Amino acid sequence: MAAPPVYRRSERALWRRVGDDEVVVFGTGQLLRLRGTGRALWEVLETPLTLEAAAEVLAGAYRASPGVVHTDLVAAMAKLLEHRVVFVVQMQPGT
Amino acid sequence: MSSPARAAAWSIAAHGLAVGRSPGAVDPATWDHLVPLVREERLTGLLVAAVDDGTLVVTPAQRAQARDEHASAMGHALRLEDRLLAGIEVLTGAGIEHRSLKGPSFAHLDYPDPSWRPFRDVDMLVRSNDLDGAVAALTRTGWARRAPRLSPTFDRRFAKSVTMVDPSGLELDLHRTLADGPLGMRLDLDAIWRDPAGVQLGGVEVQALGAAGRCTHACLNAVMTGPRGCMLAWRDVAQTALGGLTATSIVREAAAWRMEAVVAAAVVEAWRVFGLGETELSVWARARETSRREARELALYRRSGVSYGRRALASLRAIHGARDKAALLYAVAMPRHAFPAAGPRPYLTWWWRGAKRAFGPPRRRGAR
Repeated sequence: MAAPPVYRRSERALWRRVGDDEVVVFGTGQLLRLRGTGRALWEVLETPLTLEAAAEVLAGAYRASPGVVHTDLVAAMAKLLEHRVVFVVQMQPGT
Repeated sequence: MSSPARAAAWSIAAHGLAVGRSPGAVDPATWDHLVPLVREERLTGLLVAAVDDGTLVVTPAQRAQARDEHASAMGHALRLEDRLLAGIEVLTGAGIEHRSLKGPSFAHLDYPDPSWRPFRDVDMLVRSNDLDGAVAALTRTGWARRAPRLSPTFDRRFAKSVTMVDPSGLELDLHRTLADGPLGMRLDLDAIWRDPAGVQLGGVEVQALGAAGRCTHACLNAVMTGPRGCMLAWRDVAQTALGGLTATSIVREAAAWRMEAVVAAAVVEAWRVFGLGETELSVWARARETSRREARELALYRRSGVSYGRRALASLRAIHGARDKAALLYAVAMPRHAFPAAGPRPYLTWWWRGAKRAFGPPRRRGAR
């Protein structure tokens, strides 16, 4: 079975917090305002993580089901990847 | 501008300084005046911080408005940092040593969170002899000077800075010194380069002034904003002076820069406007005697209604040598490089505008 990818923030991305529930991120010429799930995912990606690991961290922080959180994160991650503020670091070595 | 809004804005500017100033709740009429004032004074980060920790009590609609204002300010700051990195890449590629100044440096190195410190433009410091080369390097990559140089040697000998504009309209100020007028001429341009601090920005190690240097620069910038100066400039003074530096280190740096009078004046004023308790630094600042020359020069920046002409004349006093004084006067009066192949008409316009600026009130400066 293929190992899940590990994601990290782009070093080149510039960002700021806007209050305690929003961040703005500037990537390749575009500005992103991230709230809710998007913001939480951006913050937790301070450390490179797989999507599953990110879901576990956030599920614990928000006392939610990891499965539900994982579903929300898929869309959020797709947006970050589309704007190239997050990249795949590596595929984890297969077990 | 209504006094309750200005009082509330000063309280917001003091947020986090532990001085017990809390604006509490703001009535709707005051809020409507407060928001544009906070925007103009670049206090949106402190406003949102005060809202989030409950220091400022607001309605949900007001909270959303504060967030939107701050998101806009942060978006602009991020675009500017992107341009700063582009400028750094160009100068590094050209082998030109540089430092990042003010806004981005204060934000990342002196404030608890960089979002607390918005900024409107970016400034970089280069050495006087590198200024022409830095302008040329940026010009080759699509930047343009906002104003033509006055003579072949004017920029590297007399200018405070050269403003460059990128194709999108964002500005980058290339400085050789940190003040106009006599303070800029007195500043020790070697001392300001010592002991830099580094900060990671967009994957790049950006060099900024050291901590004591940033404090001295904050003081200089605040003094230059004048009697009704920008609130954020005064916050920068308090923020950098109370950020862990010893009074001894700040005073030593001020002396090395030849800016002791400026730092003393700025500390006294910052402590006054924010109601800060006495510290070793403020005791030194109050006790320091100002010479007649220092008082005369500070008055040029602190008094409202002082004309640019008087400040320019004071610059002449700070320049050594009759030849350099004459070169400055000639370059300002006859800017032949600004009008390379023209008759008398552009010069007449230039002199008329110069006279209006020389004898009119200075434009309001602020923290950038």
